[in-house]
Amino acid sequence: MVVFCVGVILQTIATDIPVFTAGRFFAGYGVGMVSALIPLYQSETAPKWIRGTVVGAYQWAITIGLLIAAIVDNATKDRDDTGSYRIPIAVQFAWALIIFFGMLLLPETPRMYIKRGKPERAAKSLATLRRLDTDHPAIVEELGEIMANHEYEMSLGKATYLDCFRGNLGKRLATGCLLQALQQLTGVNFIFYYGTSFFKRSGISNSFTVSMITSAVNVASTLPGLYLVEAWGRRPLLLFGAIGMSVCQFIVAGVGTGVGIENLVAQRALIAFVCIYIFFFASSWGPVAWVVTGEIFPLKVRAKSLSMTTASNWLLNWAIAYATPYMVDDGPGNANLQAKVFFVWGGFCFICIAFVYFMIYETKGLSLEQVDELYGKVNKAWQSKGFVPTLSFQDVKDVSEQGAMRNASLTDLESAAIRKKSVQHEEITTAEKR
Amino acid sequence: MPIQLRPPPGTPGAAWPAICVGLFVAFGGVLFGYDTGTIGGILAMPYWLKTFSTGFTDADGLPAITSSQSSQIVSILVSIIEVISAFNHLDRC
Repeated sequence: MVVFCVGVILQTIATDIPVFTAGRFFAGYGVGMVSALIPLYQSETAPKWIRGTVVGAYQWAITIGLLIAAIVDNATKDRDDTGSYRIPIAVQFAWALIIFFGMLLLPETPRMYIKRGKPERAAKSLATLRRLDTDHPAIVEELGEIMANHEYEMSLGKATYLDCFRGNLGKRLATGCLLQALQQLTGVNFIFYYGTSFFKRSGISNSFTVSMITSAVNVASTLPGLYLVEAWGRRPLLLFGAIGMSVCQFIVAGVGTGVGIENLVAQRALIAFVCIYIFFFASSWGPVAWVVTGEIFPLKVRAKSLSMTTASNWLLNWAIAYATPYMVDDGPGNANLQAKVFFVWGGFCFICIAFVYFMIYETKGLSLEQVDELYGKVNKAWQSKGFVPTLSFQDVKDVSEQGAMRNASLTDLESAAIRKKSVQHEEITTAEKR
Repeated sequence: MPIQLRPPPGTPGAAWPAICVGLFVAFGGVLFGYDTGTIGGILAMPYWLKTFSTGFTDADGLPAITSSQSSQIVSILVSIIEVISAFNHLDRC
């Protein structure tokens, strides 16, 4: 947080680009820490029943942050003094303060204490979080679960990066990385990073208002997205989003290129379809890409595979932030695409449609173990819809708890589970005979 | 995971600490979104452009910044977030 504040101070006092850029460098350090630690903290402290909501709330809050930024920018844009940019930057101190006091109030996570080998402190932390006594049965049970989980992860041993590519894990990794890369290539961050400047150059006089509207659409559409991902499932929602985004992007590109910038009707159409595009993005690919990558990897390679899929999201995010000014602007050495850049995004949305059809498995309502079974048994993604898992989680747990099958493949585990069932059955029948 | 706001019946303990955790987490998101979003508007502010322009002007003769300057200002934040998240991740693996 201190580093973050240094960054904010540098940006606030800056009057030239090098200092300003340095400020953004340090601010990025703080944001990077927060964005890496908060999801971890939430998953280790929130009770199971609220975990889905908390993950959703985090996604939603990011869109709210974008909206607040657009509102503050709009409020100060006409000031003819340094306040026009210093106020929006200094508002970041408020967020830093809230997070700082939040960190003082909230306890270290129970899982962290277990990792460090301090079970008593873990129990105390968990008891504080749940407002129960340390010897309450619910606390003892949850703590036992955390410990068992931790031991199980330890017993799996360390996976290497090579392990992430073995068998159908390679296919899953490719799915996750492509999904995250394509999410960025749909062009959403072009609108949030460069939208205001772009609209201004397209002849739209109130470009700041347009940015507020696109951000508001983003906030409002994320909520139905979080609901639909469970109601419709991953495949239909991603397909729906990709088709909608692709149509909107091509219309924006066509209108922006074919009609001059003096045409008011064309400008309104452009804004309307950018908003509809944002609706399709925020209600589908925005949240669902994170949901899908969070559930397609088995525990053993999960951390490493997730680090690679997340890196692919950030890499493309960066590449787009870096490259689009050169693609869009006129002038020597630039591609001068202007509104034609939306043909590029539309093209990628089109690829998204095929990608979902051929690569995305329907994982709605499946446990991590059942997702393993799905990938093991169904070769083609478009046949994944009708998949019914034959394996219940408890069966696999029973078998793997016996310890001997740690490194067995899933099919082995399943046959062992079936064997175990029939053995039990035989035992019962023989007992009856006696 | 389904969206839920009430604990299932029979859950022992208080729900409000869980909700506080949720709100705290949400604030991280606001910081994140605000930081990435605020620059988009600043780059289009007349006063900011007047102060920070190094002499480059746009088609209408107004002060502006070059493509490489806007590229650098926007992407530095993204790239450093990227590097920090990656290091944090390696730390955990």
